[in-house]
Amino acid sequence: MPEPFRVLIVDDEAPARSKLERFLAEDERFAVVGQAADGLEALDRVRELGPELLILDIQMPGLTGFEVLESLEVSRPQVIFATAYDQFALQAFEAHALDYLLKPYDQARFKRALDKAWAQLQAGRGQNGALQSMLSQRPLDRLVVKDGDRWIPLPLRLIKRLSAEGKQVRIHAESGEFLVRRSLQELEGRLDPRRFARVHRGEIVALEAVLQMEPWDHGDALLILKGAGKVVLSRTYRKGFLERWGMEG
Amino acid sequence: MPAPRDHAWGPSRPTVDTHPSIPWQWPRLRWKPLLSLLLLFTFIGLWQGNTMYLTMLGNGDHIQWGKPYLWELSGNLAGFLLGYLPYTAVVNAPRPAGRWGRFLLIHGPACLLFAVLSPPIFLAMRHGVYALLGWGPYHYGPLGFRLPMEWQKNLIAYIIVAGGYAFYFHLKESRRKALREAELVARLQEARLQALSAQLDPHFLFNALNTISSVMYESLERTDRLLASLGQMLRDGLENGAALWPLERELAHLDAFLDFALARFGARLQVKLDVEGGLSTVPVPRFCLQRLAENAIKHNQDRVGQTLSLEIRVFRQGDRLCLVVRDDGVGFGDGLDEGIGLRNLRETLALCHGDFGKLDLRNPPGGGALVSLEVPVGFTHA
Repeated sequence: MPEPFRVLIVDDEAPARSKLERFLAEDERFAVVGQAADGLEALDRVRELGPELLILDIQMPGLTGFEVLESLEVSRPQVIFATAYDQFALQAFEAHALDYLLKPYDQARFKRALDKAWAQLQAGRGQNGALQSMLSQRPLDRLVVKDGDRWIPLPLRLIKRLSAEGKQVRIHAESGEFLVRRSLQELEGRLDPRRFARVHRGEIVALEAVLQMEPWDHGDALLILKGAGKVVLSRTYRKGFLERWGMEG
Repeated sequence: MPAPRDHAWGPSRPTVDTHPSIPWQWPRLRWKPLLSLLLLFTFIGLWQGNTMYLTMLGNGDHIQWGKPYLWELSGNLAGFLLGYLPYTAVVNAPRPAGRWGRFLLIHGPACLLFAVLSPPIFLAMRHGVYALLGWGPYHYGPLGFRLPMEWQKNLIAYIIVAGGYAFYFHLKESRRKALREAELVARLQEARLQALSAQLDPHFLFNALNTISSVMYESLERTDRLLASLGQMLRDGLENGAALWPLERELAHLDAFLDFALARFGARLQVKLDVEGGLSTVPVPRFCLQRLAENAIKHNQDRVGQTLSLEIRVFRQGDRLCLVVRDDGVGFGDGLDEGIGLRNLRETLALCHGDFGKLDLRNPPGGGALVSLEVPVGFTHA
């Protein structure tokens, strides 16, 4: 008998967690190593317990299931998603041909999902490409950032500027500056274009934070931001920025 | 549990003035109605002139044909010019409405002025036209007979004109009222539909089913109870009822909802319910308490690892029923933003209770959010 795979149950409802525990107890291929009742707790438990499989609820207090996965810096475990009714999540799953459980589900349906996950784990497959592409295309409405060793969700309306810094991005927000391990390119595609604009190869600004524009040289301009310094608006991005900034009034 | 008037939770009672003092109004004149009135008075003048001319011909009188027309037209034109008097009087006192003193004080002088001012006006017209057309001097006859004749005629004219205005206003008012009532019915129906769709919210339904499917493995009894509660909520939601229903039904509905909330959130939710007795038949907006409890839970869902305490109190204060939902969560944001649920509730209150219904949101001292709802006991428009 090989070592069972280590499973972490993440769901905000206690009865749902104990039902999952009951189902998993009947399957010798898996061993439940822990439970988490919200997104932030899930992040801690993953780091602490290093599970190989997550049973992950999408709607949770703190962070959603998607945000939990995005915030995992180390290699991600296999995931079985579960959701009761969330059209956005379903669309995302369908678009990327990802398997998911619709709540309520019965034991037979759950076992099929487990079998699939087991096959993947047996084959030693790492991160799922479809999962990665779903996560990197999902529109953002907040960013999960690390403040010391705490994770905090940062609503986009508090963000004034995003600057590339090596392989990371520095987020300038009202409450301070945070580094996230993302690419500016990826973030640009996921931010609301009505509220954010690329102004430079390495800079995105929140239109609302731009106080004024001053001429610079070679057709470049200088943007003065509310509480987030000055940024160069390069010629390449000038037209696109002005259109959106003008629209902002 | 009657609370003292100045208690932090206690609403103040509005004063109701059954005889509001209406400020005096000078009505504005508009061209179109003025022209129609002028036409009407001219028409009546011509008609009376015809009558008089034919009568005189019948009597064998030889007379300049224009004269009877002038007499009658000038009298009617004077009435038209003085028409502002009865109009103003009617605008300010359309009906005695139990206040005869005020009614007579307004209409008496208006009528007197109308009667007294009319002869000088039409006499001036008649003298002018006689002189202009070379008809010789105009003889009005002895004033001792003439004036009383005019005055009694003008008294009747005043009553007819003022009565006409009053009737016109009454028609306009009742049409406005009928329109308002139709609008009220339409909006009530809309509110009902919204309440219905909110009730059959698929989020709630699927979460409830999931809760049942989980609890089922732990306790058959609790599963049974949850199924009964779900049945109750679906029945309440599907019922095509009025915007208001008795408090006892709202409490039963709230109870069913709380069953699910408590099953889902377990120890993270604490509910304290405190309902004064003897109020079970008082009409309250459908789903009001349930909606408020749901709001409180929803808005504090993102708080991680903390217990939410919900305190629901229902009590009577004088002639008003107070429903208060208080939580110890994050409170309302700046500007006390209202979601669809609260807006609907506010609308329902306004439609059913007018100024007597009240919805008050605030962040009470000590944290959290407090919503207090007030409805009259035993009184509704709908």
